[in-house]
Amino acid sequence: MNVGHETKSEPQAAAKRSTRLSLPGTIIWVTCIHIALGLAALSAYVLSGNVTWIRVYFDYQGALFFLVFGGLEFVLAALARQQFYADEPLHKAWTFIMLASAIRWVGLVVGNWLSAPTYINPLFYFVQPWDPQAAVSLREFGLMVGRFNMVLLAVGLGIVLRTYMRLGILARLKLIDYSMLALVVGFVLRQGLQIYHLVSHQTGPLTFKAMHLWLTDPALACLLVEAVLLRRAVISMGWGLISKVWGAYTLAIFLTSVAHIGVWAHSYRYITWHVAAVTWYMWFLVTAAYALGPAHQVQASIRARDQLRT
Amino acid sequence: MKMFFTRVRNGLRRRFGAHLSTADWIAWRDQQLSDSRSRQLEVHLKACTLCWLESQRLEDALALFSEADAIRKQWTPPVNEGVENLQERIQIWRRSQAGALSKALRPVDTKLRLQRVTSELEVYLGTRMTVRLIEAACQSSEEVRNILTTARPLLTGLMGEQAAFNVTSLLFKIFTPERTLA
Repeated sequence: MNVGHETKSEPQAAAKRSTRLSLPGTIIWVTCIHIALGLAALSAYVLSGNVTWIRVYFDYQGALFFLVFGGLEFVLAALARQQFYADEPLHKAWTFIMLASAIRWVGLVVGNWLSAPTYINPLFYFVQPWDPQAAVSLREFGLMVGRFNMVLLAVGLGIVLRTYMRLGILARLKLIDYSMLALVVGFVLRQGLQIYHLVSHQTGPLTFKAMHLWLTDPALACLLVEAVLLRRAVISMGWGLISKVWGAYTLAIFLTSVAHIGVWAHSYRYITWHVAAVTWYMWFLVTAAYALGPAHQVQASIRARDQLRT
Repeated sequence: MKMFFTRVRNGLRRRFGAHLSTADWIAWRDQQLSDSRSRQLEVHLKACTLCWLESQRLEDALALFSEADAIRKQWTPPVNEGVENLQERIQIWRRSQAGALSKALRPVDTKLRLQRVTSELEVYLGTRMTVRLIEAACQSSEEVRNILTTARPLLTGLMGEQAAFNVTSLLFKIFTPERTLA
């Protein structure tokens, strides 16, 4: 029997493998370094009063982060989709998630990279003189396009939840989940009332920009409901690679909500810019969390293949 | 519209589709694949000369192996009664020795394997899900078979057929490692 040989050699092999940085590990490390640099830039700005510190950080490093991580998310989602055959339910889910990531990427690239007057923006070289008004419009367009990813993501995660239900791993909700769902329902009702108030007092024609913003909140609410359900399922499973896929999406949705609340609170002057500054960094975390989801799915597949080979 | 997309998808698969792995071929031959996947592989086999040649090679190897196995089973050494009795006694003696040894070793061995399977499944499914799965499977006398049959559809649903095949193959390898008995 070679059992003895197996038990002796395998921990060594495992130790050898563990020294390699995994795909999700790389994403987490790069994000941590990026955020640390950002906080250093913010500190430098607060101490010196020189705005160049954070301008350079957000316009260059921040824009590149969105460009790379947005693209990475799309590529990883496409790879995760390839793991499933067309007749498998998660193939359809990953198709929607992949399309959502593509739209989010376009939004990030247009809204943060192509609209900024920086030397890493190709449009900055072609459009001379630079028109700040057009740049603002381009940024708004990018952000508007990017928001549509929520609808596609909601459909994708809906399919995931249905699959979980079929497999019998959708856990029973607890009091805290019901409390979260009640908050989401309250938020939707409040937004509905606000929209009703705006429409009833509207004097001019309704603009597409205003209407698309109305779509964003219900889509985000829908995503939050799905995130609550997924969170419970993930907790009931324990933290395996598969749980981490949907755990990352849940985190991304919760962070998106927090960032939205930050933007909203700052625009109504409920919070100072110092507090609102935290939400600027939140978008990097959101982008990283979105990339982490498919990264874990791909990592699971890579691990399954490698373990069998060794 | 759906028809159109199916055609485009199939066309792209034929044009750019991945070649068959040996695992694919075995699964297809054992009728372990879904209908649509089987059809895809058949279409790919017809279109791809490389894969067709490889499948022919595998067919030949399998036929050769089956033939050799059949011959081995049919062949019995011509032994006289005395030698036969002696062999029988030796076998009884070996069994009694092995029995005593396996009684001492088997629970630990099985426990170790079960631990390895658990830790392997935990990586993908998480601790609680794995514990639930293993506990459910261990209630039956055929725990190994039960773990594999319970884990396979769950892994397929969550990771896709290919990755699930890899994981269950590994679990099977852990349960039944190649042994060289002297």
